[in-house]
Amino acid sequence: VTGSPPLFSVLIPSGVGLEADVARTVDSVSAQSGALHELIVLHAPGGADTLPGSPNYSAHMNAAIESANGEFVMIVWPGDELDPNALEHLASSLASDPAADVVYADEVLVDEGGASLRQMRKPEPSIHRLRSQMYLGRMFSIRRALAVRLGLRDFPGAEHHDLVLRAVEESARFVCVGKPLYRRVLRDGDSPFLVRDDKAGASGVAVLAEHLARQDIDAEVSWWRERGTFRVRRRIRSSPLVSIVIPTRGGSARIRGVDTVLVTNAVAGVLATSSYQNIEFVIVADAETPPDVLRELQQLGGERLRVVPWTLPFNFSAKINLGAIEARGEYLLLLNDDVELMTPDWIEALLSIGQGQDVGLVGVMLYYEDGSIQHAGHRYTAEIAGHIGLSTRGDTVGLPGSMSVDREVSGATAACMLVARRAFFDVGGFTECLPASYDDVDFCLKMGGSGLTAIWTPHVELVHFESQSRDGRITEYEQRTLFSRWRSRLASDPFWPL
Amino acid sequence: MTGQNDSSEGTTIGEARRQLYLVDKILGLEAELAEVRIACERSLAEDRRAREDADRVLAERERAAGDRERMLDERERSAASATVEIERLRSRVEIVQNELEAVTSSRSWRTARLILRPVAAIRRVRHRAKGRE
Repeated sequence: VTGSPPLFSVLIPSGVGLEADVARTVDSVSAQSGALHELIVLHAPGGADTLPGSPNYSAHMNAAIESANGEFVMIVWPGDELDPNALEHLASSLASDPAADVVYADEVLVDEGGASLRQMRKPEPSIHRLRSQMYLGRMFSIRRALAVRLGLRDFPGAEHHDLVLRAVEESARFVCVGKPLYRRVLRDGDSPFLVRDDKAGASGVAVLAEHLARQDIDAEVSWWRERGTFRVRRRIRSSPLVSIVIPTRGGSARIRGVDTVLVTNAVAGVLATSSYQNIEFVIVADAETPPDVLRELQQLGGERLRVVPWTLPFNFSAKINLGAIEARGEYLLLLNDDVELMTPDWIEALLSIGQGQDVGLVGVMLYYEDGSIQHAGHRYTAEIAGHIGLSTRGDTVGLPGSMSVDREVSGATAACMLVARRAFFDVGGFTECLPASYDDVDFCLKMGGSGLTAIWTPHVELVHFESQSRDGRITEYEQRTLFSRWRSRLASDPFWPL
Repeated sequence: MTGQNDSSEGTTIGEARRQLYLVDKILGLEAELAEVRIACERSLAEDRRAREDADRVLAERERAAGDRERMLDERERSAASATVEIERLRSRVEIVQNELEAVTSSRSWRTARLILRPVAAIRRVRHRAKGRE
């Protein structure tokens, strides 16, 4: 770490027929304003490709990195271009955070004619997401000494993912520059940030498996071929009791054209679908809940179901708190009564994430009855707390693949959320100051404040029969209460925009 | 149906709820305090910036006022020195005029003009002849 501006070594792989692309990239590097840089174009003997994924890429690149003089190295694909101020922005970030080891920025996808297609935003450092996807993409620069020490290894198509994961293991400091500084050419068949070919998929699985083994995480890795992302499933420790806490007033609604009692439908669905057996239901029922609904619930759940009466005026938070107090499980699974389970191994999937030491809560994918997305995590801005993916098509992949990866979020809806009982009590449960709205936002932000992470997973899916036309108006009081606690935190969501 | 005791905690439901309420209250107050602190720091920073701006404007005004005074002084000084110069030139012109008058009214000047008269006539004739050629 030095006080003077760093020298960047920009490394450009090359290959047969890529001369024009290399020239374009060289021009964009030469046009850099301000920051000090040197340019190295890799030429393999005989003009063979030196692109990532090609044979001996790692050896060629390691040699180039060793011979470089820069404090930081950066690999730019031939044909891609740096924003004229890219290196200056990176240098400025490093000046304000001199301990940074890896600095990365957003990318802009452009067509082969150079026209901008869309911006690929990247979240703040997210280790859980990194285990599902190399979300750093192409635009990152790493301290040369670290890159030399770690070296690129022969994992065709996953060389950089491997490098970055090992940098994480070395406790490297990652810094995100939230600016689009890299123009990435989108060619036919390209799927940025997603792994589509078998070789890279296999490499990715191997890289992640090694990483998890080194981290002493007992987990299974798979490649989600259709989506181009990876999935890490930790093996569940023991089989803890999970208490499913459902506040209800025993209401009914038309589901698929049939009048349905929501809470019994939810409980019956869980009992019929869920593969995890060590569960109990804690139903917090309003006084007006019809007795026949309570009877049916008792019949459905038997000894595994307890009804806790709620006799005070409506307060969703207080009902959740009462349910949590009554619950005996090590984990609480907060569930609305108007949901229907789609994923049989949902509790295993939730525990697999929720048992992580740094994890405070896990949110899920919720769909409306018509199949569109209702919730893929919370997103916060200075004005509003809303749902990621709201009303988009159910098969939306998201940018860049955000609907297909376990990822860090600032919060998730309490319509379905797993939380460790201990963590729930440590943050004082749900605030009774917010009886109807924003209670889960506040809860998630308290959890974040206590140093625990919120994770959203696409691997647990439920239908949420909440009407798309539901009156989502927030009272001024709720707005004021939430913002008095979290104004600055809401205004700077590290995981939104994606 | 539930009982009134939370056996795992050994506390009543009411006490457990109260405990949750208090923890939430404390965390909420801490969060609010942090927000107030941030707002305070922000407004202090804004205040500092405003003061710096005001200082800068003031300094610029003072500099401008100083410049104006300097310019006025300069103008006064130049006006004074111009007056002196004009006076000096005027007296110099007077002296030269007097000298010229003295010369043209002298006997030697008149004599010289008489002597040179034929020479001037010859010059005129030559000049005309050249013009005809």
